Amino acid sequence: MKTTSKPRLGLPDLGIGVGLRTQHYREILDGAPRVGFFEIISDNYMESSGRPLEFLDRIAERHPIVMHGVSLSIGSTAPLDRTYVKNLKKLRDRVHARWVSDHLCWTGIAGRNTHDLLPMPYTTDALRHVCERIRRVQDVLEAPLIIENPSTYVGFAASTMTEWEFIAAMCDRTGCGLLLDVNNIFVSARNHGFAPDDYLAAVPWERVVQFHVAGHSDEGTHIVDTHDGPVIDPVWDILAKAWPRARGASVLLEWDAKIPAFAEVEREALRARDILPHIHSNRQRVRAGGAA
Amino acid sequence: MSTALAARQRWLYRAITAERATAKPGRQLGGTAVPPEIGVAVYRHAYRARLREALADDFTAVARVLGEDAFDRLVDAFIRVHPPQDATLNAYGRLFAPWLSRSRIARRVPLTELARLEWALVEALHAPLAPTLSGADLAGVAPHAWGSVRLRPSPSLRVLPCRYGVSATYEAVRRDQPRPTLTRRAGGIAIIRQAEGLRRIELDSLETRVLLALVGGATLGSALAKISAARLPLIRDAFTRWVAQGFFTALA
Repeated sequence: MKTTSKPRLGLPDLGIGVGLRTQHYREILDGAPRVGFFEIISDNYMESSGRPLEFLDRIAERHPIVMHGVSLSIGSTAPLDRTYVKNLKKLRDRVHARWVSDHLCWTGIAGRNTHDLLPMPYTTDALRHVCERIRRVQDVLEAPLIIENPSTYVGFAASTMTEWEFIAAMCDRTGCGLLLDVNNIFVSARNHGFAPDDYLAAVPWERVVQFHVAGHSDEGTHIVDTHDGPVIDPVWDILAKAWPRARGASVLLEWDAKIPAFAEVEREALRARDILPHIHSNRQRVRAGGAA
Repeated sequence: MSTALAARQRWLYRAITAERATAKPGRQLGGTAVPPEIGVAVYRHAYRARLREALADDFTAVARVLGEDAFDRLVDAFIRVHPPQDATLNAYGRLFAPWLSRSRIARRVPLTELARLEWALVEALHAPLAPTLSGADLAGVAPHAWGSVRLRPSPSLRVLPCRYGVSATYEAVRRDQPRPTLTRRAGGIAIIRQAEGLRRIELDSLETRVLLALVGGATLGSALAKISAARLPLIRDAFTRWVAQGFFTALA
């Protein structure tokens, strides 16, 4: 995989986007969304030839799409599912997705799947393992894979480096991009007891292609990344610090549970304009700005 | 592949999916502000909650008939027998109705048919639309050739023989009516995806038998072989409706 020193790996700045959810298909198609792009959960469309894919095709004709998966299981010691990766590529090409992302995690082993984003131990052998698999995925995709930092609730005693050190090394060794979820930084900072600023200080900013913001649930003893409500101010504050350093990375709001009407999700996403005065939200700017 | 990494992943997988929280995280986990027991509990809860939610989405009516607690217990029993294996959860429900038919609860309540209906709707939703058999296609069949005609079913067509009125139960749930009941009604249901959406069409016993035969690849001649002359016109009318509703895509 060839590496590049361009910001965002040369990928376009799409402005502000929201996750595409089935409840909103009609509103999006019948209305005039003010957000610049939609992020799909790749897995929801890869095994369908039916109605969800037809809606996606229609939405992709009108709006930029990026793909975000939950089942690549890049850190698993189970064999890499090459069919899954090929299907990712097929879907990307079908809807002209600008990039394909998944999480720094594993979801299962030995033919079993938890369908959760499970934490990695941050060790040198885990780093080697993840990097080797990222390279194999990128060879199939013929494009950089974009990896998201996870929210986690346990840490392995065997870890010899921090998550941010692991991620920086991973990006450096593979040329992959980074989807920086600032809510995940906030969640993990509380759960693991680190300072978000320490995390931000180590981020390889030229690799950051996209940001995620989301709501979470504070359980008192810990925080759970539930994506079921508005973004709290401290998470917006992290984005305000991070976004200028990434030189125009797209910002996306995830809202996956207790999903309100599209207008409310869109309104919440567009709050990014209050935090980031220079960010744009509409697709006209995306077209004009292209990949600059 | 790192054997140390594999061992850690096996350990955490077992800690999350085991029925009882018995794993001692002390040696494996650490370095977090959250006590490891709480951290593992978050994953244990999420594992079951996610699978319950996925199945409740696909089997809304079954969940409503049973009630939330009973449905969750049922799903937990299903998970024990069929832990997820596929990369995605989209097809996780395909084994639910067959498993239900063998479970203790299915002997008391005729839920299996309702589960089969709901899974057939999921399958039909994800099937592609296809061109439909036209009147012109049928007009081209020579009179002497009708008996040997086979029909290619639409990719979304599902035909379910039923002993209970599960279509009415499903409709009651959709309309958020009070807790629906399952009543006896011998016959069947055809499900087809059309451009406007999914359609459920109730069939009588004879229609079900003929349609199942045609979908299974039988010729028109053999599908209609044992039908009395008095009932043939009824089936002819039904066949005309099936063609108009897009049940078939072509002559095979």
